[in-house]
Amino acid sequence: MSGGAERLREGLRGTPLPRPAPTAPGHSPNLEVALGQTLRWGTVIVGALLAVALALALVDGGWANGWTHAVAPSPGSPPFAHLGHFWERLIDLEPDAVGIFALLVLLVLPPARVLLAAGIFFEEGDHRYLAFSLITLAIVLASNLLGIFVLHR
Amino acid sequence: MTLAPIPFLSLLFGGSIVAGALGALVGVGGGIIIVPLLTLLGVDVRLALGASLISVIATSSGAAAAYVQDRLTNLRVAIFLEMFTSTGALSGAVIQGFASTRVLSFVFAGILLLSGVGMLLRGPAAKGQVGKPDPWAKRLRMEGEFHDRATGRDVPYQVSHLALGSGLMFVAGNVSGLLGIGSGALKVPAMDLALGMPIKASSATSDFMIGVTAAASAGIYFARGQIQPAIAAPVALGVLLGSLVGTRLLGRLKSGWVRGVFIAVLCAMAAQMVLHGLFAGSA
Repeated sequence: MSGGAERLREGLRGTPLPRPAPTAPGHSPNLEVALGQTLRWGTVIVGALLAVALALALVDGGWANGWTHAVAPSPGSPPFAHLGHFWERLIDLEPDAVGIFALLVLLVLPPARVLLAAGIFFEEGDHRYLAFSLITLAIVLASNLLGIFVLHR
Repeated sequence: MTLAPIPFLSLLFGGSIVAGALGALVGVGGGIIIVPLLTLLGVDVRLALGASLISVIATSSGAAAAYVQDRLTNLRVAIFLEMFTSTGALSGAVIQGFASTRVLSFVFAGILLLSGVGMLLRGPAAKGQVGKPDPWAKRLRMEGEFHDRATGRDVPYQVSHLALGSGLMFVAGNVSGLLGIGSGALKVPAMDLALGMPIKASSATSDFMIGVTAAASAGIYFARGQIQPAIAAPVALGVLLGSLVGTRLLGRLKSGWVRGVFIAVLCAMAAQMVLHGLFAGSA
């Protein structure tokens, strides 16, 4: 329906139709939809992976120790301590491996969000915000690398 | 409290759904409820902080998807302030490694009470201040506009006191890294009161930011072994489901009622964390 026909229908009904949000500065509709969809589908995939891990753990009984809270934080825990065996364990559908994989996918979502925002600012030619996005991304990545390779030793 | 695996999992999962729903209703991540709940169930506070951090990322991803598409999120404000919250989160996570369980419990109780006071001060009718736009915010084109479905109007707004807001965001990020929470309960009032943004834009922008802030310190938590799938996975799943329920309930419940329940829950959780700090020892 054209914009004019919509306004006509709006006038006949006497009630305003919901309007789309205005394209204010900082809005790139197509990329924002892409960003929203990426977040939505990423969350759905993570939720499904977590549900699979939980179902496997319930069948397998492997997380019972965790649920009787007989575990304590142990530096260098999987996947960092046994990275070589991680993929084999994932293919074997071990609950721990599936759970860790789901959590790692979840951890990737926020940096991906910042990267997509950087794409929005790049498309707009706003190099200041592109730089801010990349600085944020660098801080997040540096922090995680610091944690993985330095702080747990 | 020591429970058999299935009752423990049921309480953990059910409590996470409630935390996710309450968090979504009042615009915070839910971690602020998860940590006291887990410590009440006897989980080590460091594992509870790790699980909470994961739940914040999960909630943020779910809520941000809807708000970005509705153009409620101010991406410019989010990206600019995220530089400060991420730096704060990094320093907070490093400091956390040197803090005792007792200290963490007391600091957490203090933040819970502070969040409750902030929520009381905000009040149900907070609309953001119409202040003089900050010259830097103007230069960085941070002003925004969104369509308010409740009133059917477009709401334009300016951003003020950018330096103060940036400082507050560093503190919020620090608290997030230290305590494994999203600090939405600190970020939203900061954007609302300091930057003068309307409450809906503040909440949506905070939802976008809390996941990124949490992700900045997640690697450190992971490497320290504080993120255990057995605890973190059911919590994340429960909070995700709860936040879906919460966003659907939002339109049907009176905001004053929701706020009152949440403040009562915060006070109860603060009392639980003080008790935990008193009796947990100094390990």
